[in-house]
Amino acid sequence: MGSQDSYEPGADLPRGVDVEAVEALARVAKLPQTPAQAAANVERLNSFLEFVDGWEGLGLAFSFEDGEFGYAPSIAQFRPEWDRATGLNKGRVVDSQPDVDGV
Amino acid sequence: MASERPHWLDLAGAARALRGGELSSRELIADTLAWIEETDPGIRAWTEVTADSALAAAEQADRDFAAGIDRGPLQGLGFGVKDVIAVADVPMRAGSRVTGDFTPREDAVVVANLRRAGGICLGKTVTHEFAFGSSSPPARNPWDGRSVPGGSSGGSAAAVAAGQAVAALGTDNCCSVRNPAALNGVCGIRPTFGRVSTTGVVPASLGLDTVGPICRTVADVATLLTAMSSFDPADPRSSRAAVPDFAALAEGAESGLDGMRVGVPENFFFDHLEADVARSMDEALETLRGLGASLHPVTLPHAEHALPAFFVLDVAEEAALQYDHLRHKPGGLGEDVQGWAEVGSMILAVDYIRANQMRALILRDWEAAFEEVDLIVTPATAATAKAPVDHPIFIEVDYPDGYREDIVFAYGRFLIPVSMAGLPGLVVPCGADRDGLPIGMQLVAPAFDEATALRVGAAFEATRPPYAPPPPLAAAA
Repeated sequence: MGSQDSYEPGADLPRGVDVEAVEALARVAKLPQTPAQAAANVERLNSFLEFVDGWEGLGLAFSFEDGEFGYAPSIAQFRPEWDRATGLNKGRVVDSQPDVDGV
Repeated sequence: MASERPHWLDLAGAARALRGGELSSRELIADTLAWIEETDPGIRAWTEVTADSALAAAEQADRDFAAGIDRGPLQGLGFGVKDVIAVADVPMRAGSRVTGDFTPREDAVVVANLRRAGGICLGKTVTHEFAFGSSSPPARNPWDGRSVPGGSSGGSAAAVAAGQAVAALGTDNCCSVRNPAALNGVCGIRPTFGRVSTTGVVPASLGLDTVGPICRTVADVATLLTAMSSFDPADPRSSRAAVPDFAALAEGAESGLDGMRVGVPENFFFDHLEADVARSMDEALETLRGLGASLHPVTLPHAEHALPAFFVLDVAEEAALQYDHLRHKPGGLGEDVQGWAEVGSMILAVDYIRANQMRALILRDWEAAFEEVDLIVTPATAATAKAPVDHPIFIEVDYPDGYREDIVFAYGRFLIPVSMAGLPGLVVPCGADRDGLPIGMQLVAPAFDEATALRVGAAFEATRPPYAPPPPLAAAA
């Protein structure tokens, strides 16, 4: 695990948890946990962290380059009700039930 | 023969028989209940069978028919309900010990809609605990009586495949209508997110849950979906999009698929398949081409990130919903749900938000693809129902290319990218493996365009033999 003394800007720091870290997280989450559960959770949580480390470079976070800034939106911004979703009804449906507000 | 008994009629056939006076609703429901009693000790698809109320409703339906009263397309027909969907005055345990003897006072909106269309509730079907898993113990796959029926709507799919119900409701937040439909050789649709009300449904994931029908034919799925769908002001996820007559739109299968542009993903969706699944998909694509559809390669660049993002979202949301159970009912949850929820309690907020950003990128990919094609075809699952019911978790699948994965991923890998985008996905049977276990194909349509998936599914289905009962049940007759 990285420490303040060893930190270097831009370094590819290792990400992961051990039993001690999982026990600390469980205290933060007020989660009762036996030693066996903590050990199992180390394995599960590390597999999740490995997953999300695969998202580097996909443009989720801010970028400010060449006069433009970018980020990925959240799915929540596509709601309500998928109004902006491609193919909304596509004009190919027939109304067999009353439409609530004319959408 | 077993297949000549009324409970094996499909919904359309049973409706014709009822309306033509060849069969009474009481005869149909009584025969169905008798078949459940006869076969369910081996399949274990039901948690509650509401025989008395079902028979009373059937007698009322017969009186209505005699009086010329038409209550809707489901009049006199029975349906099963997954045990995370409320049915008034019937215990709802959600597959868990922690729910105790909870009995809802009111129907879920989707159940009320089916009753309004004349449907008769037969009872509650087995779910994986809190709809959070893909084995659905203790239900068994009727095709061999040994394998899992998939999940989490495993009881609903097993019951429909076994002829115990002409239709059943499932829920699908990850893949829980579609993977059981595929593994049991029946049809099921995950509707567009928001198409069907989730009021009265125990949530598995606040941002992904849908309710979908499982039936033995595409036309029956279309009929159920029309009856189920409605705008629900009490459900913040409910859409105001107009509800079409899906059954009418799915018709015309005999005219083929001329002009239909079908996308075939070049990346991710055809990777690491069992040999029989790969063969069946090749044959299915050729069938679609033979029906007049044109096949076009499409790419969905973020699909590979869907499964990790789904797990981050799903376990965190499950942890939030199980917050009190984790703290105050130790040992109450099953081992797998408990473990996932514990990890969900430790997911960082930043990773949860990044997973929601990933959903937007996945949806953009699908939208871009649908600029070029009308529909996209994928396998439903990478493997058939391999996991034995007595040890259904942590089983690994080996593929011909040397790849190995947990069976949970094999059953969800191609379905989750659709769920993450909130799109509709229809599963139709497209073959069987060398052991006779079913193989399914997924048809993905743009948001709120379930009709296109149903039309293509109906055309494909028309090229195949009609549904035949699983051999163990045919032999038992």
